[in-house]
Amino acid sequence: MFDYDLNDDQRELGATARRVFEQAGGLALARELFETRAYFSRALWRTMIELDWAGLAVPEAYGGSGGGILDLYAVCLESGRAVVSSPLIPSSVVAAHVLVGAAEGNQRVAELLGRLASGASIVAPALLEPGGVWDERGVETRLERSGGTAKVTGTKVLVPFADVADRLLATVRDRDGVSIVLVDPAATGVSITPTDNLASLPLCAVVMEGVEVDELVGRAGGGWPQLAPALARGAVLRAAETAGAGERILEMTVEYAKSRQQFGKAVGSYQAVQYLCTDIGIASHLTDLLARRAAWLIDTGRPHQRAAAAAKLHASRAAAHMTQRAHEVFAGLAFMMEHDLHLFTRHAKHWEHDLGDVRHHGEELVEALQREFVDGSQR
Amino acid sequence: MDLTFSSEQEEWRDEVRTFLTAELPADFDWNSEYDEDEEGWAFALDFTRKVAGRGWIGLTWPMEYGGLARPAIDRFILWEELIRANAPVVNHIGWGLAANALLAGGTHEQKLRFLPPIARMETFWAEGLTEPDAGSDLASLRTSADWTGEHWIVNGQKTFTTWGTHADVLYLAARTDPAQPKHRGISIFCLDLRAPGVSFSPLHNIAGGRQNHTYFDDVIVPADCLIGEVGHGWDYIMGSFYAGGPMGGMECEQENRLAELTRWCSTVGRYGRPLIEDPYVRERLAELAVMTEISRVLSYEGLSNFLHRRPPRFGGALNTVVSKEMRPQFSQTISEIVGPLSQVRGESPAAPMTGRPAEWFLRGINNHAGGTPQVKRMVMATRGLGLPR
Repeated sequence: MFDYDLNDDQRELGATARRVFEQAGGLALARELFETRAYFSRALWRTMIELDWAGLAVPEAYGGSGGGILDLYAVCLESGRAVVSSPLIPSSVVAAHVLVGAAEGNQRVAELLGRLASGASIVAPALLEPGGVWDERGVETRLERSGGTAKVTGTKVLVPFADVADRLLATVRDRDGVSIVLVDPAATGVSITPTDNLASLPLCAVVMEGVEVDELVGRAGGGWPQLAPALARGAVLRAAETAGAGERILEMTVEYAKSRQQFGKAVGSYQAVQYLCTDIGIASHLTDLLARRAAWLIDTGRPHQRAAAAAKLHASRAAAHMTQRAHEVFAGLAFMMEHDLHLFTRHAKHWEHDLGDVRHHGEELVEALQREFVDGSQR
Repeated sequence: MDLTFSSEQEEWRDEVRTFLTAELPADFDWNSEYDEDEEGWAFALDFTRKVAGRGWIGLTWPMEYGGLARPAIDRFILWEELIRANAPVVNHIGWGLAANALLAGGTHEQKLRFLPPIARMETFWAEGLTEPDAGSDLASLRTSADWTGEHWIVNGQKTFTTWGTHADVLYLAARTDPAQPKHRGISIFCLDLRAPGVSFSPLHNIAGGRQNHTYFDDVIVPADCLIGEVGHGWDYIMGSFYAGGPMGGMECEQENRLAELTRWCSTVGRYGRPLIEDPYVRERLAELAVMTEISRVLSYEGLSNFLHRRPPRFGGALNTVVSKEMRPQFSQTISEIVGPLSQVRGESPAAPMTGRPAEWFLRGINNHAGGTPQVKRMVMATRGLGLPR
């Protein structure tokens, strides 16, 4: 029967996630990680692994539990709500999806996928380059093949968890086009440098100079079609995190607007402030609806490009809009580090740009419109 | 989560589509803003009667009241298709607000008397809620209905009465007890617009339609034309806005415009290249695409909530706030893509897309009917978020 809600199992998974993230420390943990520049909590990641979340969307044949994006959706609403930094989206979703597509008949990829699904390994997608372009035009890192060896030279930026990863999953280009390779971060010629960033997230610059790599993951020149659906999955889950964070921001802001008195009244009784609060609710709820539908389309194998791109484009805007609106209600109070809002604000800036920024998803959308309305096909 | 329709529902959709293909010319364009064009009006009436002939006006109503007792989801599908085809269905007040109020509060006799003629498209209804001094604050309405012991005597004025001069019956809210608090002293009536003492003066809206001032000068209304119970009018009015279930469809209208615009942008040049390759145009098209997806998910969420009897979040106001605020924004964005010629109307050979962007722009200004977005924001803030009034 027609139903827009997550099912009982997914809601239960979400309730578990909320409890787990709260028990791990919730916003206090996020604050501690930020202040100590610890980047992420290994203890919490271990807990997530024990709950089988690292392999949640990996097929059972490769050691995962064969779940879908909607299952992870329930978790990501909560990881956004508690501002959790973890390898879940980059490794367990984006990298995992690319590996799943290449694992059949490729023993080494299948083994890596198994380690990823069990939580033993983190695979970091190394996609973005200094030009900041999320689509295949942004890939300038070179692949040189001669004889039996393949070497990679180029620079990747904002690579999540690169300094703790077992493998980097990198996009590279040669005359065939864009392909995907696995890079050993310990290999000669790789240098990894954490990048100072607003949220103190584990984002690294990766410079590769003549780094030897094994054979390609998937087909030569076929890298982008392998990656695009993985990016869509990751983007939808970032949108879920944004929506989850938005719910918490809304609660915090409304609570404050009800209690804070100025000119003898609660500030939440002023319509200017009410507009700010409703804006947060709208941005958050629409992000949730858009992303949930996109996740469902993905899980049911339906065309999802328009839905996923619209969800992430909206989520990117919402991430900035919701936090800005909240800052206006809290004014000076949340400009101070003691207040928790800045934790959301900082992470939201990452979510906004991660796995496709507004520019990227706008382009994805229009390409989909052209295919559908001008070329007459649908993807 | 499941956003699919059953095979029976898809068959129903096909049935509606087949009907629409047969009855409407290709590329049919209907001015939803109450166009007074005589030919268009005649076509709309004729078309609506054909819809009624299928029994689809009262699709979800009980059989005994002229309906087909079909589930709400079938009505949702019907409306998706009607709006996708830009179908000229009229008498919204009759089968919408009035029928919902009658179904909710009317006596069995009233339902038997008023609903079947609406289902058959034999009576045309206009709305008599808004007054010159009672718009957003509808409950402050002053039109009075006084009980003589035999019948009601109505005096006062309504405004923005769309299609008033075409209508047979007015869905009227009037004050029956001035001593009660303002929300409690209101009752709902079916008022015969041919009765002595009813008069109109024209109001022409900017989108080409006629609305009206409607005046009542000692108009006699029989006792059995008061719907339900005296003093309960406010509850019927509020209930009737949502009682019929979700209709969806805004996304279908937007999808149509987005498709037409995307194709147009692929055929027209500017700066020495197809418009579709202009980065500015692409960015704005993406905005339209996001708005369309938003309408789609709001429609589906509304349907899902209705089917599962889940109370909507935010006091039910989010959907209306977003849809209403989006409406002018959508047509404005089209205007910015099309550029200077978006102001040219259809009669001119220079008009892009036969002048539709200019008409869409004017129609897009109407986001007030049924309550302004500002009032809905206030509802969302107070009832939805619990902020103080």
